[in-house]
Amino acid sequence: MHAQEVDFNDIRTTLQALNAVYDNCNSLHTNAYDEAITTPTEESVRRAIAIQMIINHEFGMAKNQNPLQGSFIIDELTDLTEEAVLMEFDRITERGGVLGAMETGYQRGKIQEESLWYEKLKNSGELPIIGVNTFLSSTGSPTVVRPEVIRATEGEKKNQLNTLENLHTAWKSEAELALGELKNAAAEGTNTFEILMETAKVCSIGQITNSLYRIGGRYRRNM
Amino acid sequence: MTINVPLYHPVNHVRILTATSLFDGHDATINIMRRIIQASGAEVIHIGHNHSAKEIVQAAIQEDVHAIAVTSYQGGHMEFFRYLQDQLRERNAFHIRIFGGGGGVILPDEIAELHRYGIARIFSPDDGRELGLQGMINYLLKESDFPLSGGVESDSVTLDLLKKHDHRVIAKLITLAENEAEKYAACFGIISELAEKSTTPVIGITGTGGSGKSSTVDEIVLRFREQFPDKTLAIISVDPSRRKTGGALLADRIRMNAIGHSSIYMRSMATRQSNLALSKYVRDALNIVKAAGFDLIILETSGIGQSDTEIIDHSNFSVYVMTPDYGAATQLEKIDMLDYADLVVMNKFDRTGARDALRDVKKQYQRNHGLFEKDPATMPVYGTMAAHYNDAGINYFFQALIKKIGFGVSEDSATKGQAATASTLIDPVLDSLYGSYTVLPPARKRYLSEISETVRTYNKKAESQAEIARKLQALGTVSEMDPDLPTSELIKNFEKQLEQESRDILANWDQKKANYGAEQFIYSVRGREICIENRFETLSHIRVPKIAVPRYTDKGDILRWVLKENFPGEFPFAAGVYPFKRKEEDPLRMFAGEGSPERTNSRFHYVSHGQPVKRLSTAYDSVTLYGEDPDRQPDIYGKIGNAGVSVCCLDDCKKLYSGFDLCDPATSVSMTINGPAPAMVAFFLNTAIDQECEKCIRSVGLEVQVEQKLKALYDNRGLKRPAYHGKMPAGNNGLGLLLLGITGDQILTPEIYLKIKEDTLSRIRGTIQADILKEDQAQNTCIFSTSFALRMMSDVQEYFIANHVRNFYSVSISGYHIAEAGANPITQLAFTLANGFTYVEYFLARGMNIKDFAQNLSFFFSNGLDPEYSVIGRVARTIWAKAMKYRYGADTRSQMLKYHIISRLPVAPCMPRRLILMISVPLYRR
Repeated sequence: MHAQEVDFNDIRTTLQALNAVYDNCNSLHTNAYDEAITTPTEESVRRAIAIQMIINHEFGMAKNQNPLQGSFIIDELTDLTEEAVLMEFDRITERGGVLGAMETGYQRGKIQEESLWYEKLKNSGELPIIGVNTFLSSTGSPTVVRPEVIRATEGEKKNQLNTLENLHTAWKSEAELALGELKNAAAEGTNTFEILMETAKVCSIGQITNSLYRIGGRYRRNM
Repeated sequence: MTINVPLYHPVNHVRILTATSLFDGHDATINIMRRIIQASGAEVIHIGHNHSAKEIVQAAIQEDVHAIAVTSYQGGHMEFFRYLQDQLRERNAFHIRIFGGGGGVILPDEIAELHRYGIARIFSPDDGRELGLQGMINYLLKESDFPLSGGVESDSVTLDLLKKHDHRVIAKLITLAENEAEKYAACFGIISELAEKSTTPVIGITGTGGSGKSSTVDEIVLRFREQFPDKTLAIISVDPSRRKTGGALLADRIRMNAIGHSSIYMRSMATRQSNLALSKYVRDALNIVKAAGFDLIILETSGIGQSDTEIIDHSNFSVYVMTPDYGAATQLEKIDMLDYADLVVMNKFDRTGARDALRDVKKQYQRNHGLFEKDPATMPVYGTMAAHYNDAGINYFFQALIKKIGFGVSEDSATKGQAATASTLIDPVLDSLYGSYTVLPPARKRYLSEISETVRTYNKKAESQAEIARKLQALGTVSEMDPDLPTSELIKNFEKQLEQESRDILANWDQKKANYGAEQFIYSVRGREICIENRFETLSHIRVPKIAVPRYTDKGDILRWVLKENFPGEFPFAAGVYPFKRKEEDPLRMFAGEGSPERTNSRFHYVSHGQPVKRLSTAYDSVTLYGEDPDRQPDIYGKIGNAGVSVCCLDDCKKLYSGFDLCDPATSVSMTINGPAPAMVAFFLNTAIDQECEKCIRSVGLEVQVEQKLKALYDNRGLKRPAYHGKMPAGNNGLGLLLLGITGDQILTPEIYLKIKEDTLSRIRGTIQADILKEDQAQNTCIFSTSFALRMMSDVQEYFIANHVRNFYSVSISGYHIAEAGANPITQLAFTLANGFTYVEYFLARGMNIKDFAQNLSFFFSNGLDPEYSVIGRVARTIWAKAMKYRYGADTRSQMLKYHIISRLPVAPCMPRRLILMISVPLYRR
């Protein structure tokens, strides 16, 4: 989706949703057309939901549940894609499996390369994107600026802080005990989640995270 | 759109610190920016994503930079940039300039306000279009191209502040030594004298690139702080300048988690000359920190190959860090540092062949040092895994190091340090630990290629079986046409080659087709019989089949189709994992997350109003995504409830889903959170349990007791009772709010509570993202060390198995973010499936049974318009099914891959998808 000509986004979303429905996905979310520029409004969310509903309830072809089967191109694409995935598996194996490849930043590097390749084609126009790099409107299809900004209010923030402080006061001693038990479980190798179910009753997320850092260590950033 | 702008080359040695703001993992833009800054000839101190204003300012002062460049895409930028400026002023660092960007997230009037506040420049999308990347960097460098000579007072004041470990003064002095030492010769004279007298040990650490030097240093610092909380430490870290541009990437800080304490000073230096491991200014810098009187100094140098031993001239003790991947044993003879190093660290000890490598290095060390009379096992070479938190090898090495430099060693650790006196070539202590701390057993390293082989073998078999069936059919036809032809031998021969499975498929084919031709289709799910109409009627009264049946008559085609495609709901599930879509159930998910739990609750009720099935999808604010509490500290405060909902405790979770019956089979909740996922699951499950407790309490009339309890807990102690703020939305009947502030176990008897808990857990539906691997690869909301995060994931999974949590996905293995970061559909699919199989291997290694956990795994893909997107789901399903059935021997249910999909998230129009500086930002983290 794009922040230029946002009105075209629903067209793309419709096609993508159709892909997903045809393939019998188990769950689907259609983006609102204005998500490139703002938190979706009630109006845009309604339209996004309508896309799915129209496909599922009105579009006759989608009432058949295996529309992709028996197509030469789908068969061909399936085989080609499957083999391409298996070849990638082999490349990851050569790098010591997923975790080994992560250590040298293989996945990140590959993703970044592909991203730049896409951008190159988009910038040069070799990859046409309607309303973005071609078929611009008479005004040049400018980037749409957010019409309104949805942000948390002071009142909401204060309420969150009060909830938290209240919790920390009301369960002070219980929380200390619970966090101690959580740390013990983490250090001793017993199941942390069993304990966490109890910790969660009296502790905040920050208390839990910071206690676990002491035993499990923080994530170390990578380049 | 490409703008050609000539490079601006700064006159001064400009130093720029680059980072992203707190709780902000969008590091693509800053990564591009830092590359351009470096290529333009500046020294870049890159500290990476997710840094608080305090951390950034501390680093900027210690590094004595000209400017800070920070991106902020997660909201709260006003508070963040202002706080950054305040912090600099508070610490007398008035000269450090702040540059920023946040794409369309930062609005034009906000940019103006920040400029008025003193921020040097916030770049807007329009700036990006007008100036181009290089143009923006040129502006930044021009503005930062000033000499850093000011800021040092008289010699006596300076020396006084130096001895007080004033970081600003230490930093300034190192800068002066680098740039204009002559001008301050008197001052440096005194410093050299002081340094002469210093007895502070200097540990030199060097090693090959990528061996994990910085991680090892960080682990040393962590332990040093724990063991000697009163001692101070200075770290000088040297990286090479690029000969071509004069720029340098000084990125050692990015690996350092333990340096954020006032007792630690760290300075990154560029060599400013090519081909040297150490800068000629290193001696000056060391003198300065020695004169300051630090208790310990660590000097870390770039890994510049096999023969650079310069470090030993500058240090009292030296450590050489290497990995088992040095090649043949003869290569060891070329490593000079094995002659000089006091201690050798062999990092990444989980690599294949590490033990042999350790043995070889020990022998080499023995030869180099002529210690032939000694047992090679006692050579000071340590197998470590610095990437693992609290790694036993590092513990062991650290104690040896501390002993070597003569710091006080506790009794306990001293004995540990001597444990390596056994006569084998392997340390007995380490050996006993080896294997216990690897994430996956070394023998399983080839798991992905084993899967490739399995799938390819299956596909080949499908083709060859089809060929045999075709030949058999042809032979049958021939013998029908002319019974006298001698075909029986051939037929017998081919029949032998046709597997039983293939025979069954062909024998049942007509019946199978007939099932879809009947009025109704009957099948069973978990013992329940389900009856589905086979056709739907159009307005034209044509009765169209829901499942279209192949018209093949060729046996080979039929067999191949069944083996490679098959009907929906049948292996290998190319067309779907269920025989039919469930009636009344669109795969529709309602996504929301903004502000307070109350506001998001209202949005949930709005979007699901009148829907028979409630599928709620939750986005969290960045504070929550990084597992922290809301706080008044401005850089946190600004992000509360922005770009997602703030959920910091059980009560927030109760409010968020209030009015939705979480145990109703028509309700399912998905939660988009990864790092702190286990805590969020615990909040969620407790919310569901308390909803059921609430029903029970109301049914038996125990509300009075709730009231009494709340009174005692809150009213009587002068505390406010937790409450749902604001108006209840239409559709919220208040379920889940009775027990705000308390939990069901405080009202109900343990027996009843446990029964409710057990029952709830077996019924609850939902999904938690919790995909920590893709976070590392594409999104950056990791908070715990990867090995610990994996372990907690598997703890959740074990708990799910033990408590029969069947309808809740413990992980949503996500390709979405990989695609969003710019990967093409094949890479999205391959990386995601590979991550999925990694979880499988990890859970298996933890002793779980595949059939017990496979059902709790789900997948999440992004959609697009490329042709491959029309098959992304079916390919995922077939690879998964084949691997599960033939590689892992899993049952049918485990073979079924279920996935959620989202149409593509918004991206910036004129920038790489991860390079969202100019225009826009994903407002939700999915």
